Amino acid sequence: MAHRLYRGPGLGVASEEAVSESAVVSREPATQAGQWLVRVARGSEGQVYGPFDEAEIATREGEVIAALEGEGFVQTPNGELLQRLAGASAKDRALAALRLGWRGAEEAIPRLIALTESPGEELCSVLDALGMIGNESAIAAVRPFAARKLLSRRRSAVEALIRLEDHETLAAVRDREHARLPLNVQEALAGEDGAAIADAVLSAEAKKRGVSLDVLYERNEAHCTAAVRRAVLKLDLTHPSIWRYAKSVFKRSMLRGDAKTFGLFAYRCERAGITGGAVHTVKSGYDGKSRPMPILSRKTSNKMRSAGWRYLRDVAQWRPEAYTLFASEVLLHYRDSDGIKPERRAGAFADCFYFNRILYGNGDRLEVDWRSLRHRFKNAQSVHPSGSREEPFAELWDSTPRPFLRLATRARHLEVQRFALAGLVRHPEVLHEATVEALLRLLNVPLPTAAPLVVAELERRFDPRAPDWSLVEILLGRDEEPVIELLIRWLDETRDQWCPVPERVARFLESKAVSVQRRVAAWVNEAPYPEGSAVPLMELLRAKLSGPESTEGSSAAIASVLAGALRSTLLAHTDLEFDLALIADGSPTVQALGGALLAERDGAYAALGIVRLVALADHSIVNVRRAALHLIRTHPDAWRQAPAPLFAVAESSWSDSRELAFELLRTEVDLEALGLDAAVRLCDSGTEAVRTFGREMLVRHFVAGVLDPDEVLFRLAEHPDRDMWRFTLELLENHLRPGLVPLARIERFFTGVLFDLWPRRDLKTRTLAFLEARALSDGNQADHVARILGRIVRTRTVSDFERVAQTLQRIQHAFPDVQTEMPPA
Amino acid sequence: MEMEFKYSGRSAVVTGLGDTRMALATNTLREAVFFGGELTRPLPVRQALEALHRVVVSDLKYTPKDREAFRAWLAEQDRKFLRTLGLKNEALRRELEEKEVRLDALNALRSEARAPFTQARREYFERIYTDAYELDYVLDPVVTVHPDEISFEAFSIDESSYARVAAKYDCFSGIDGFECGTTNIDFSDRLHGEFSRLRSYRSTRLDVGASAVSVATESHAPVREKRIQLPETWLQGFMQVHSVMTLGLRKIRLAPIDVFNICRFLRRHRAKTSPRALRWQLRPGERTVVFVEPWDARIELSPASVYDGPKEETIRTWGRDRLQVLEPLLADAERIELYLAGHGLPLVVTVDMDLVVFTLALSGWTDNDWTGQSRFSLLSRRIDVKAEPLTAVYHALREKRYATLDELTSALDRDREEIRSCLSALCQAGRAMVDLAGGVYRHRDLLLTPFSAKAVLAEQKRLEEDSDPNAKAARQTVAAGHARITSRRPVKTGFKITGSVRGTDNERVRPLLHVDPEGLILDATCTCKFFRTHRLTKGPCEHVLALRLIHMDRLGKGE
Repeated sequence: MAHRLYRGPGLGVASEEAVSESAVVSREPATQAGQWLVRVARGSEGQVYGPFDEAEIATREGEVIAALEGEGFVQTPNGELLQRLAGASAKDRALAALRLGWRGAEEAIPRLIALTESPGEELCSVLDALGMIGNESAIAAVRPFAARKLLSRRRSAVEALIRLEDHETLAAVRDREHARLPLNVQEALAGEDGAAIADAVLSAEAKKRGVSLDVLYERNEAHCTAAVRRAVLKLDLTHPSIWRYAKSVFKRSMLRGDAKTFGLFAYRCERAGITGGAVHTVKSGYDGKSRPMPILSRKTSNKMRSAGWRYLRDVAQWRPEAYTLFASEVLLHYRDSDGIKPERRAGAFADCFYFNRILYGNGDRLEVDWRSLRHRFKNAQSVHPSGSREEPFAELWDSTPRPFLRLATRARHLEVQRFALAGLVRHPEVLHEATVEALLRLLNVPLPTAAPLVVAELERRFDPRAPDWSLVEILLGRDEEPVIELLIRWLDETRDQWCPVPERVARFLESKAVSVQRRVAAWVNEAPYPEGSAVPLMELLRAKLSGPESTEGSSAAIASVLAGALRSTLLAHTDLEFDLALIADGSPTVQALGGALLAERDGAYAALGIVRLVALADHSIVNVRRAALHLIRTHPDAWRQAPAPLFAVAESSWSDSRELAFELLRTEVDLEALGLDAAVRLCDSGTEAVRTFGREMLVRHFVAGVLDPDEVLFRLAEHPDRDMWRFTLELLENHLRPGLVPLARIERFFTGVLFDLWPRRDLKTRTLAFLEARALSDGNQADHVARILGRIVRTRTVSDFERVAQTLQRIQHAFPDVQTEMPPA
Repeated sequence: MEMEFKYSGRSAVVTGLGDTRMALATNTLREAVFFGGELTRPLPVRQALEALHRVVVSDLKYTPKDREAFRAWLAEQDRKFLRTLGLKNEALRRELEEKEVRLDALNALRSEARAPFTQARREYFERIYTDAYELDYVLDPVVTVHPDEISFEAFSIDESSYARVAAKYDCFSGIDGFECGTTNIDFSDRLHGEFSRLRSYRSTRLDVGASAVSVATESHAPVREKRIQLPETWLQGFMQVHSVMTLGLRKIRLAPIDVFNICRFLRRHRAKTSPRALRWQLRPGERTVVFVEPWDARIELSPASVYDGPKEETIRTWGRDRLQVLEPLLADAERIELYLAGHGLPLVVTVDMDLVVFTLALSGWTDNDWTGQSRFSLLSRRIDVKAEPLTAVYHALREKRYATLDELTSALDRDREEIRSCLSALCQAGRAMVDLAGGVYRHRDLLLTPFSAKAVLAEQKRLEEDSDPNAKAARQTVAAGHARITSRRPVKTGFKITGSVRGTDNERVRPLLHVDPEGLILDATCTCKFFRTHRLTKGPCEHVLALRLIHMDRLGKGE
């Protein structure tokens, strides 16, 4: 076993005697058995002490070490890194400094400070390390760099000072940098509203937006940070004046340990760079010449992503408790739409570097091409998940599982949600601390494991014997299926406790889920409501009916309770005016309630009168119609002798009203009371059902022989609907009196049928046959028929033409004096 | 452009046992127009309003067939097929088939059980749809009360058909009073159904006016408002119709049976291939013959259709299905006149039902709306109109309400052709209309904005500049000196001109032009590609217009 000792911090760095910067003390067996030597190696030199007995070797070795410590050597695990701080390579020094920073090695502070005195390329890393170590003795060394013009040095210095809590310098920096902000952003800052500041940044001059981001983030104020996060969502990172500062904010977020900003910028930079960035003409930092330069090229993007992943690994190593937080903040920005068309072994999300690293970095299904940072499946079978855990640092996810909840509720990528839910299944205790809102958000995750988790947790929190009504109140505002089921179960279990309380009933009847409303209404309607509480509940529900419905049908349950358990109470405490007001001004549900009440309201008929009831019989709400029809039916005196109201009801647009009117007209009204005008009016209706009934009435009249056939036929002949023509023709054939006058009065019927573009063949044939028969009966009719047929004889419909021509020929033959338009040759 | 309508209630037809009251609510946002009278001949009015309604709701523009249901069915068949594809076990296959049959039976049962619900839902949606359709799409007709007639004008939704119903006051008895003017009337589908209940054996009263509805229904009517997004082309189209009527149209008389034969043939035959035109063969002194393409079916019209034009012509017109809106009028029609503007150009039909006249104007073809492609204004007279005579003619016509050209000429003591040009401009601005059947010009302010001659002229100029590239190109060609007249011969009807024009495409072509003394293009041909492709269906080509510009310039110089 060897002891390595390093020259202590007080001895300076990079001396010419760098070879003796360290010493190694080791023991080795002497040539004599049981004897040991103590060897000290210092650079190229060496010294051997001994031999010593086995019993005293430890003491002697301790003395040698003590002697070396007396020379200024120390034993430290960071010794090698301290040594590297004195190395010749700036890169080496920078890496060592960062490593020491992560380790929080306070013994390195003097050397790091010494490095700031003669700044080289490693300066930024040295400043970062000083910040990370967090010892205020470094403030004086860091402070001058916070005023530098060079962004990278200023950034490192300011971020270090933030960690060192040098408020005085930071205030000075803020004041100085404030002037760099556009005026509108400066004004918005006064309001301390993140959204307003973000809007101001977005509306600022294009080239000022990037610098605004950096300056705002540098201020390290909550509203400024919120503004930066908000604004970056809408900015094009491939714009040269934005990219530079976006990169800066990303670096700052790492130095500051700001997981949210880190996650957002990591994701946004990856998405912006994945397309290869853009080419802009910019001034070169090397020679000051403007030339087209790629901005956020694939190469740059890859460097950024590598840096981000290195940072995550460092966090896992040095701040293991924070790793899951940082990783989840990156993951939750991915969304399903980030996928591209899969190509060979590259899946849809092959270019989502952080996504694959964080979720599958420890699995063996994917292999990463470190040059392009693209993840490919190893083979075709690898496409399917293996079932084992593939995320790196699985032990950290298990030791700090809280971010699973945030991931599950906020992530927008199905795989991320699946990963988070799997974590929650392993660590259900995370849900114990979750708010109800967070739990309910989980229900939106489209995975089957989500709902049982939430329901189980909610069940755990609810005790039916002592219900948590505030929890119920929250659930009343939800309409997810599992919540509804749960809520209905809870309400069922606690019915005895809430049913007698009017306020609770009223509230539950307004649940967002219609099925809950219905169940509540059904439970309340199961038995008459307790007398003492009925009136208060009725008043509460009445008040709720007065305004417009939030959504259509949302008052259905309330109306159901009012029409059910509270009907008698409502009838006793309201009057007809109330019913009519409901019908006139209410929503359809409320109108239905009004109808239900109206049907049972005493004196409704006397107050309304038959005219208003007829109008209500055509109402679009079935309950209202039913009430009106009920009142009409139960008051036959109003229509038995003068059935005009029934005719009006018969022409209702609603079949139930029509059917009732038909029934009453058929069975309750005398045929003579009907009259010709009424029957013809029914036939004139625009509704086929009414016309059918009208035809039935007319036939009854004909059978009874109470009508003048000529008058009826004259009226029917003017009907424009085809379905009436056949009926009319049948009546004509059987009832039209002989002679010219009756025939001439209905001439329009014949022209209508003959000029119909959609004729029924038999109808036309029968019409022509009828006309022929009438024409052949006497000369006057023959002349009249010849004139009618003369208009149609030039038809191109062959069958019609032949029939018309034949008829005309027969007329000509029977009455040679009659002038006919003979068919064309 | 948003057209706003506000009515004090809905128009209604209240049919009692012995009388009918038609109450047409007018737009209260427009001038107060009213009319009230007893209709003595309700049947022709009923039929004419039925035809008008068909025009109002007609939309014959091509819309692709909705194949969603078919695709869903196809996908279901695919799924079924794929389900059976993997089954190699015959017993399993049979079992699956049995289950499919069982499933179909259950589905049928479910459909049967849900039939009342489905029916009720369908009726509900139809009701909603009808209301929404009327409120958002159906353009209410324009009603104009004249001193001698009341007329209703409407334009179809597809902007390709225009219809006008004019009822002379002789078919009213006991007119209570009227106030001349123009407004809109509320015209719903339900109202159309009620119109069909008009009968001659019931006394029928027609009331048009803002308060007509409450009088008819004896109740306070709720205000009904409609807002319809109207394309600007719709309004222009309305005006272009009357611009077309001022063109030199070929007139043919038809018998109702002629229209019946054409419509019946079209209804019984569905053309699946182009061309789908009607070819009118006009031979002086002979009956007109119509050929229905693509079958070339020959329909010789009745003897009334003898053509009395000067020369033989064959004119093809498209969008023939739109003629079927005339069907309700055939039984009552006493005289039908057809006016043809030319090949692929609009046609106008007037159906006289004795005191009730129905005018139908159809654009060149269904997709060719009145403004989209046809530049009829370019065909119309070109003598420059000045603001002062335009104002004089407008006020004279407004005072008389309707007048013939001769009456206006003698009343204003101005040049007859100048007045014709002014009337043409007024028609294009929606301030006047042509009554083809009556042979008169009528005053009709389509818009509520006050008349301003300058505004009318400016709008015309803007339309010419904006809407027609040919007119612009013609002016450029003339300005560049690339057009010249080779011969210009005065004839009885005006001038026949030939010329040589190098157009904007740098090709020299030879246009031939026949114009009347005021520059109205009676006929034109050209050797250019535009004319070969479109003839005059999209207006004259730039070369013809350039030739006319030079001619009008010479006319102006008194040459």
